[in-house]
Amino acid sequence: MSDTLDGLAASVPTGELVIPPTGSPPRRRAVNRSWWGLAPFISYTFAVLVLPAAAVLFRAFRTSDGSFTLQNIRDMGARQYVVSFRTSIALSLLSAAVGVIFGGVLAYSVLTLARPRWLRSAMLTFSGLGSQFGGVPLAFIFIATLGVTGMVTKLLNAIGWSLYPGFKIYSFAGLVIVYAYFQIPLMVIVITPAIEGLRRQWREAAANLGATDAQFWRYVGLPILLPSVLGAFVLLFANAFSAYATAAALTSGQVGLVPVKIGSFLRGNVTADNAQLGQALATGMLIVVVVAMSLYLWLQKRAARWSK
Amino acid sequence: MTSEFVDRPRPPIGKIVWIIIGALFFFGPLVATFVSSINYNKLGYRFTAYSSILHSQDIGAPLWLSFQIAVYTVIASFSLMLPTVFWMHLKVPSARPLIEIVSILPYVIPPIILVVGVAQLTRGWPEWMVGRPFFLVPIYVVICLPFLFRSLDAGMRAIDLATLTEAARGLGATWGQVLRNVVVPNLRAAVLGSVFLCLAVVMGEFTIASLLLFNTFPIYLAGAGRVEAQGAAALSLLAFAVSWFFLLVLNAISKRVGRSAAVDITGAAGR
Repeated sequence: MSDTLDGLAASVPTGELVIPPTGSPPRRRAVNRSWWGLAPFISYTFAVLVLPAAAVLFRAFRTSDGSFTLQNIRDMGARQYVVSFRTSIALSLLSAAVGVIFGGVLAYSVLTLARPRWLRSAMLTFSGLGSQFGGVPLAFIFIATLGVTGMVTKLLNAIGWSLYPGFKIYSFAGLVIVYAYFQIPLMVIVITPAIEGLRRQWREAAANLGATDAQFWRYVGLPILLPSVLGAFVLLFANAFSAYATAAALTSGQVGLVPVKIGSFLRGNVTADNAQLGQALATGMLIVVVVAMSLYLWLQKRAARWSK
Repeated sequence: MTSEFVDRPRPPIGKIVWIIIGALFFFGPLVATFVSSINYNKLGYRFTAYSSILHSQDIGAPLWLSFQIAVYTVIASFSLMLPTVFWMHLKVPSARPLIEIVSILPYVIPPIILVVGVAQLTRGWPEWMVGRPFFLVPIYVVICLPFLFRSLDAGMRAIDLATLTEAARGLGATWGQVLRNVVVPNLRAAVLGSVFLCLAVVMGEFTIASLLLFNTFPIYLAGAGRVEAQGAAALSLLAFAVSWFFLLVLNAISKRVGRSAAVDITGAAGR
């Protein structure tokens, strides 16, 4: 593919970039020069994407007067920050599990149902919306539903089951429910190609060899789906872990998640002399997300084996 | 089209139950929100919240601001990404892995970390630069990067870019003309899709705007919710409806403008 494009490109009259049609050394230099066309993209993303992330990393290891220190990282070991990381990770794991299980079953149910036909596209369209939905509107929708004066709360009160004060929408359990509203659709979107990639022939082949349904799933179906499902789990985990807006709007700091803590550092609600601690927390968060996303990319590569 | 992987014929009661549960979970809260937006307890049911949104003096400014920021973001994103993806396809296909990885980075780096870094880097910059809401545009360009790259990449992969470019250049078109009059019209579906996605994402962005203290529409929404419950419910539903609208338009476009658009070069060239 790249060879043919190069060849065609070489035959295009290129104005300022003169590419001789023959001879390998000049052609090579021309290819190198073509990289300059990407200079705007590379410098822009470097300035607005790489540099801010690097600044966070850099500042995490500096004192307020600029000398090197590990103190900020050590301060992160303070009880409240350990608890935030633990809470954030627990919330992300739980909401990813909820998303994977319910989203996976929902996607499987819809995709393997022959009728009605519109169901598949309806589900995918709605999932596209739901997976992007978050932040303030989502928080308000759930306050109106399961808040103290929410409609479902009132409905349950009327039949004699009072949610409050045992349950609170702005608690950990509440966040799991609210996050499910975007995690389940995301799972549907991510897992649909894998489910549609299952071939009927595999099942027929297994049945012809005398396998039961359970055996088929145990030895063929699930092992094939496993990399995709694990990849989806990691992606959902990272998605929940980096979410800030929904938690901030819903809990106003009641559940001490890492992003919420960083947000309060940024707003200057915490003493100014340990502003670097915010950077250290951000660094810790960055490490978790980078590890998760690398794992996701690796799993996706494994899953791609079966997509042909 | 349904999956060809269909279970053996047997009444799919389990599946139907799951689908009903899923539908309840997703539509239930929307219905509940609608009811609470018109429920004034002892005063009964009325649409006051919606009419006061329409007549509100305060909502116009943040909405207009968010829209302007979104439009500038779209323009800036395309000015950056269209030539880049075009150039990559035509001249430096070996740069693909690099551009792909950089384009995934905004998914990897959470917005909150981006904000911390940007606040860090721009500390001490003059107020006229960092104090204006349009300071958000360069950051939002980065947020839009992943889906912009993907849609442009898919769009350009679907057409014979090299031949089209060769033909246009052979007829004396400048590189700018090639992009404007040949490439863009051929990518209408991809371009329109990412325009709407970009608009929707930017108009709903909360994290960055709130931490950099700009009063965009989502920030206004958050503030309004603390004042009156019905109003907040109504506004949230409207926000949902707006995204829904963008998505439906997107679907309609991608259905109507098919892959055969490559034939229709001359027709769109004047736009």
